[in-house]
Amino acid sequence: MNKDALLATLIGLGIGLVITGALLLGPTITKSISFPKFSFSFGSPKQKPVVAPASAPKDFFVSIDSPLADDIASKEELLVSGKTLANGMIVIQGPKDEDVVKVKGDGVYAGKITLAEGKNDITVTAYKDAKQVTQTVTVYYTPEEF
Amino acid sequence: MKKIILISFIFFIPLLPGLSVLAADATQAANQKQINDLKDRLATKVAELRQLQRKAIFGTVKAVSASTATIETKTKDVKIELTDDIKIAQIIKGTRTKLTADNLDKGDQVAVFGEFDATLDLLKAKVIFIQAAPTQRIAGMVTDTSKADFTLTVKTPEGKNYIVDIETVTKIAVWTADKGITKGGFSKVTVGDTIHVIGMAAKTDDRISASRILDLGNLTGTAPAATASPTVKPTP
Repeated sequence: MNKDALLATLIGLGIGLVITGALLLGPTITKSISFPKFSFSFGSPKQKPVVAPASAPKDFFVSIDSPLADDIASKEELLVSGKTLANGMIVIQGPKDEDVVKVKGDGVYAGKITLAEGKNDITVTAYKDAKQVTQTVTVYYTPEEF
Repeated sequence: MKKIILISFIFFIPLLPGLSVLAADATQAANQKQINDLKDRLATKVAELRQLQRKAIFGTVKAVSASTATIETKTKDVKIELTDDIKIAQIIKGTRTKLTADNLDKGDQVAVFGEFDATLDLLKAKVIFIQAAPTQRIAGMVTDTSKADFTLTVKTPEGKNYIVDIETVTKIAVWTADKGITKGGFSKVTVGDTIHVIGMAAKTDDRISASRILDLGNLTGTAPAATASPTVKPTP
């Protein structure tokens, strides 16, 4: 075989391997590299940053975040939490006892009650400025394992 | 030498599109395989969850046989399977008593715990608790107290007036901001206080036999004007 032809084959093989490697590994490498983003907006007025409205509902409300409706509680003692208007008062009423808690500045409340076996209706009443609002959630509890 | 390099390049240029397609296909195939695997796992998990899901229901026993029962809930009738290892209990005279499926009667109010089979629309009952009659709850402002009859008149925010009977077993608790919940008594409940009552409904719908009362004190700072309260009849 001609010496030049052999050399050309080797060079061609080398270049081919480099290109093949670049094609195979290229997509993975380019994903990990973060390119700077350019924007070409000329003369457009500056957009004001969108500020999400503060979650300050006008109406008096109370919500129960936990427990979820028809949940099966694993323990006799249950933590009830949710949201209402800030600085109010919450009465959590279970089948066996009640808990009265002051609402924090962010409107979040949490209190504990004791569950009875079977169906438990939990009533949460919020008081603020001589107004009251009530929400109820039902949970189930059994000491038996199933 | 230049010629050699040029020839080599010319040789490989036609191969480039083919190689790129091959590489893209290999990456796509790997991604698709991963997506398909994930889909399969997700579908299996959903199917498992749908098939057997821990669930509890409450209702009245409508029909009962040796191996099944029908529970009438608020929304629909639910068929339950009474398994061999089922546990049935009820509070009898203050004590939790273990029962058998034979003790389950039509009209019983029960909470059923088990595994719900969505494909069969059947709840495989594991635990049944026979519950007492449901309690009634009201919250409102005390508009009148009767020490002679041991009753309170409570007006709810909806404007309905209730007569609350204080029984010997009635537990009264008082809440204050500094002390929290402490033991109270009938004499500490005054007109203008906001109270929460749990009790059993009496014969008339405007009367409750209280089992527990929580007195929150006067939250408004004002005593209510006298309101027309239901006629107080001493309990027999």
